[in-house]
Amino acid sequence: MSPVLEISDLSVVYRTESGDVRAVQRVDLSLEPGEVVGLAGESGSGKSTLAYGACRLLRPPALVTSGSVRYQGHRSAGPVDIMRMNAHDLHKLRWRDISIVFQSAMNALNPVLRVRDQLLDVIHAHLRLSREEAAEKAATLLDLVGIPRSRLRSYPHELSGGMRQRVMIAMALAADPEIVIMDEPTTALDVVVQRDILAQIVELKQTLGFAILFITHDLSLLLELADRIAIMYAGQLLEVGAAEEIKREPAHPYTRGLLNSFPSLRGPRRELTGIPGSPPDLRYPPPGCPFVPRCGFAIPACTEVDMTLARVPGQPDARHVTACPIVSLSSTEEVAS
Amino acid sequence: MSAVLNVWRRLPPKAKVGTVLLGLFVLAAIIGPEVAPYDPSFQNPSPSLSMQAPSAAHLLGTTQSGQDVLSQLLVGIRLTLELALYVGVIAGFLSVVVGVTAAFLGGVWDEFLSLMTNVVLVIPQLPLLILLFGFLPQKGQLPTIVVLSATSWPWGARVIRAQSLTIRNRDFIAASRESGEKTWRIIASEMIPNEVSLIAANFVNTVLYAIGASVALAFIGLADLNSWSLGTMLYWAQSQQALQLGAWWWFLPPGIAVAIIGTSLVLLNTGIDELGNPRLRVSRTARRIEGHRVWGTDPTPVLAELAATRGRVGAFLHSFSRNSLLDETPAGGELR
Repeated sequence: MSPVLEISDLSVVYRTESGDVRAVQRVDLSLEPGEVVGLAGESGSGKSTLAYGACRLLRPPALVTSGSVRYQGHRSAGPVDIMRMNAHDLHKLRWRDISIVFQSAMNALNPVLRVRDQLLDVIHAHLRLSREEAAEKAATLLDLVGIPRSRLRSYPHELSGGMRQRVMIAMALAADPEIVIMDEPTTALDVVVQRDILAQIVELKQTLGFAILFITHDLSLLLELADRIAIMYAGQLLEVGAAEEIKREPAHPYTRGLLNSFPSLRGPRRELTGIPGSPPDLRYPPPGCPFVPRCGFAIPACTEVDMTLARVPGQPDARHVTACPIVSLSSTEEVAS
Repeated sequence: MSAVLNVWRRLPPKAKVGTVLLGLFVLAAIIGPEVAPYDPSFQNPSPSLSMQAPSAAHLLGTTQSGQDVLSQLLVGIRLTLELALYVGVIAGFLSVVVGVTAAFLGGVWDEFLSLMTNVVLVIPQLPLLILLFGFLPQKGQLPTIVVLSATSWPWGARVIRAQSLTIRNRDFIAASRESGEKTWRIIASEMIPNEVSLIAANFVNTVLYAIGASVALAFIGLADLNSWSLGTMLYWAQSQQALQLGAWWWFLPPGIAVAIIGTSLVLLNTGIDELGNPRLRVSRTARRIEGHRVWGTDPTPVLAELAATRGRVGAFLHSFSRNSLLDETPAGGELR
């Protein structure tokens, strides 16, 4: 099966007066139909810039300096490169093919309009439906995310945080997209509601069959939800692999640091280590691996590593790739012992 | 100095035009009376020098009684601008005090001050001024300033009260109250900086209004007719039939001056708005990336695409370069 979205060699910079901030550097990432890919990394690592840049949603100081984003939906005739599309084609692509659930539902919903009107706005902008069909569509969308139809007449402030987030998800699904990008959709919610909504997302994904690019800084959440996980740091991908692989055999020292930064729900208690230090200044990216200053395994050769993703040695799965050729599984055990 | 330059660079073009225009008039107001070639009140007895069209000796011609129009204009701008400035400062100060106090104190004070504001607001201003000037013993600059200041603050006060109400309820004000800051300090250093653009815009608007009102009052004779302002110039031009006699050089210069001052203030006003509200500026102005103008609502630019589609000037210049020979499509565009 060919990937529905194939990001290759994508670089995004922010043009500032003090030089280019290289927010995303030469990233390759693909998304299969119906797959959940998690994009994890700390604040400022370029997760959102990557996702929004791939959809060309960033404002002008941002500039795509290289790469292509190939989109191949089952509705579209052939693969198209989003980086070569004009504003008009992009307008048609967005929401119909790729839609986004934004970070905070509080700000994304207009406080003075009823939920119904906001859903209808989307439907009218992107679908050709008659008035009655559109109203019916809005109601079925709320059915999808488990909100009673009577809530169509509510204003956003009359809904709870979880319901508002569900409305946002319903809105993103309005045009039956192939890809839904979710940018920290559950960050502002408590864990119980978070769990509910994630279960809902998985269920919707199974019935409607869209692929998800899930952006979060919460790796534990991704381990439960995602099929594959991409670990991002300082604008570069450090490791991509199936969720179980990442959990069982993290190949990159940074991934290990992340996994040691939160307690697991099951299993024995252990000391949480965290990662000391802070990310590099992206205006002057260091040569080689950007994680060197914070890495416990760093050796002089690390500053000459070209950050291409290569298959993890000794791993059966060819799709588990890492940017760190220095730290292999055996060397870890040596250091650990 | 560099700070001033920085602000200037960030100003939107509209505001730059407004600043330059207004600056010219302020300059004229400062040095005008000194550089005026003649005494504006000097009536030339020679009949050949009355109602003269512009000439080398009298750049803007002369009036019925042989006075030099250019000198009148240069002297008159000072009086008009001076009056407008005073009114702007006094009325602006009043509206800030009333608006912020009403919003911050709330309760009975808010009720009282809002009542006052509304009462003054519904008084028809120009008729009141005409009536007052009928009774006032003198009709000079001072009573005009006092009366205009006393009647033109309520609009600003209402707007500023509304804005202050929203700011008052924000978290950072609550936080500074919790931390025990004094009321006047909260008002002066927490609330007012958030309203600078509003206050400035209000000031500019008041100045604009004061110019219009004072010129209108002088035009109907309710001013000190022995002094020279743009309004009195128009009064004399009108009363001595400049229009009927076709002496365009008499009534056009003061009229155009009023119009240009008004325009410059309006341009300045929009500029102040964008200066005080950075979000407005970012979303409305285009960024220049790789020689292309990219607007905030455009899709994220792609470097390769930008290079492929040069701007009109860029493409023209590129067609001369040696590299254009290597292009896939010839420099003149695709032949179809």
